[in-house]
Amino acid sequence: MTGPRLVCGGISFHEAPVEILEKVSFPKESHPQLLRQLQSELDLEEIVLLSTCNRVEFFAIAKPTSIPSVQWPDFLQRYHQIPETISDHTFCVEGTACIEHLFEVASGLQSMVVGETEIFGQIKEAYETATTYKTTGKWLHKLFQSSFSAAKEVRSQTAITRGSVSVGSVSVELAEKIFGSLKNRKALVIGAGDTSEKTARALQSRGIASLFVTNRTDDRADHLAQTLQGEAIPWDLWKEKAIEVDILISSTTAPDFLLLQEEAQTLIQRRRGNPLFLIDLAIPRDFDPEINNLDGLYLYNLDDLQKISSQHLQDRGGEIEKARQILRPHVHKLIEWISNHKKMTQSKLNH
Amino acid sequence: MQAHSYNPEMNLDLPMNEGLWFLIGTVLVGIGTFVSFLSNRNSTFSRRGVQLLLGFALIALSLFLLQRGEIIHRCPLTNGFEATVFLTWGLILTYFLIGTSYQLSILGSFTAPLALLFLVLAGLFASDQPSTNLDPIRWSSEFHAAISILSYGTLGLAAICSGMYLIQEHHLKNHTFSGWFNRLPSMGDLEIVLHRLLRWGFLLMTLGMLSGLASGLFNQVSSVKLLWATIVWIWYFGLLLSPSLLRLSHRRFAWAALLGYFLVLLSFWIMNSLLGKNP
Repeated sequence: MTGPRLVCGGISFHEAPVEILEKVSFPKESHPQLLRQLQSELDLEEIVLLSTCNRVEFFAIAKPTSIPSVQWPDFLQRYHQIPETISDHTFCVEGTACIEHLFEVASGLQSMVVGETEIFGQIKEAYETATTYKTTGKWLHKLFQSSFSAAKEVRSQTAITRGSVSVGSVSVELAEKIFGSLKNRKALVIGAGDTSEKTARALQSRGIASLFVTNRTDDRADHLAQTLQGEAIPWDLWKEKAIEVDILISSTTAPDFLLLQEEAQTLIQRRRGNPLFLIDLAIPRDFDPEINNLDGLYLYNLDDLQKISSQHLQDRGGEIEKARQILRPHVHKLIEWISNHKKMTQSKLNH
Repeated sequence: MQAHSYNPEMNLDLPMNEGLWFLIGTVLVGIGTFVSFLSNRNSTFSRRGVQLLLGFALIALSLFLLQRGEIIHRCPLTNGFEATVFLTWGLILTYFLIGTSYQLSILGSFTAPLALLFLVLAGLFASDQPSTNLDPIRWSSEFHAAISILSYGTLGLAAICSGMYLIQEHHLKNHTFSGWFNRLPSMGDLEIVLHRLLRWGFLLMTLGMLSGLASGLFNQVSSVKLLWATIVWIWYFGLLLSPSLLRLSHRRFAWAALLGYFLVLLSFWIMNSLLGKNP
């Protein structure tokens, strides 16, 4: 063979329901042995295996005898002992389509949350594992290196990764726009709801200095404070605590407002004008919406945060075509490289 | 000492007429402003481009001031045109000396339009001819002028920072995330830079006033101008003390810094119109 037969196949959230996806994923520790097994059973020369919670895919250089479109679903079914046929949920492409697919996956265009960057790291890890276990050669080396530089260009030249897409990360983004670094900031969580916990965790991931938790029931406050490694404070004291914190996250089930405009006015005066970010995740709302009219107070409720998140997703979607245009020359460059190498190999064989 | 007179032949060995350098500087700042506001948003290329254009504009304006200084044999602050160009030069120079060290490359995008506004204003005074038969002045007076211009530049950058802060604050308060929201730094970062610039500006302003006092310059100027300069100084002094003395919101603080610079500009132009040909 003078040129590579580039193939890729897989199963992802695009084609398969979650019940099947959760059955076909491969644990990391099985990869070294799996790479060899796939190489032999699918008649492959080179292979990289990518397995995440949203996709299980392989990228390979196949031998002429290989029929991956049949062998791949068959292998998955046998390996995972799945009784039902899964070939309808799998895909398999060759040549240019395979290059385009990898470049799009690496750039986050094929991700469930368009533009997420985690997939880039996962592909890198899959490639490094395959390189360590020597199942890659010059063709896949070139393919993956090209995909990394193409994805980097997409990330830097488009807004595909811009803007957070969950309530927690949108809150963090807004907090960082208000305060800059969150390293010396303090937050107070009012009510032990699930969304407020996630938001508090997101803030903690950006290095927030201290976290306080309060709840009408002390036990739940203690429990959440323990989970978040924060400090529980009695319900009666939260308004006093609000003077010294920078971020207030509230998600109680209280039927009335917990903080009225007049109280917020006193609060901001006692804070000597220092800004306060209020995140109201409760339904019905915990903070009087009029509070946002006060100087130095920045109030966002669940609806505001969800709107921002949807807008970001929409904006990312709008960048897909631009990203594809950036990827196109990278794909052509790789095809040209493969074609040149094919010719060189051919001429060496002729001599 | 002899008074110098304007002699056009003294300028012959210089490659270009100083007016042309002014024009080149203005055009470069104009292109910088265009690039800042109309080019691809948030592109590193446009921000670097603005920086480069401002760098070349600074060189062109330096050459203008150098040639004008050669002609009149003193610091070119003898009329409204020269003074305004000097002010713009001070603003751009301070941007490179202090502004760039804060890693806020976006600062250049805001410096360019303000510099353009000053240069257009300077253009209105462009018919002012270089002053002739001026009395020689002492180095201490020139030091006073240079330090004051630097302080105006620094306070100008502080005003730009305040403007950026207020735009970002408006976005966050009104939940509007288009336009400048993504391009501008956080309010917290802008506040840090604003406070530092105000401290530097105030220090330089104080130094400028003390050097003016030491050189006896204040004996030659009107009490109105002195009073105005003192008001400006007190304004900034109060502003610096306000975080510990007053419960001023950060937004009001930013407005106060902007207003302070407006007073500086008023004092600058009033000072020059009152001083006439005797800075």
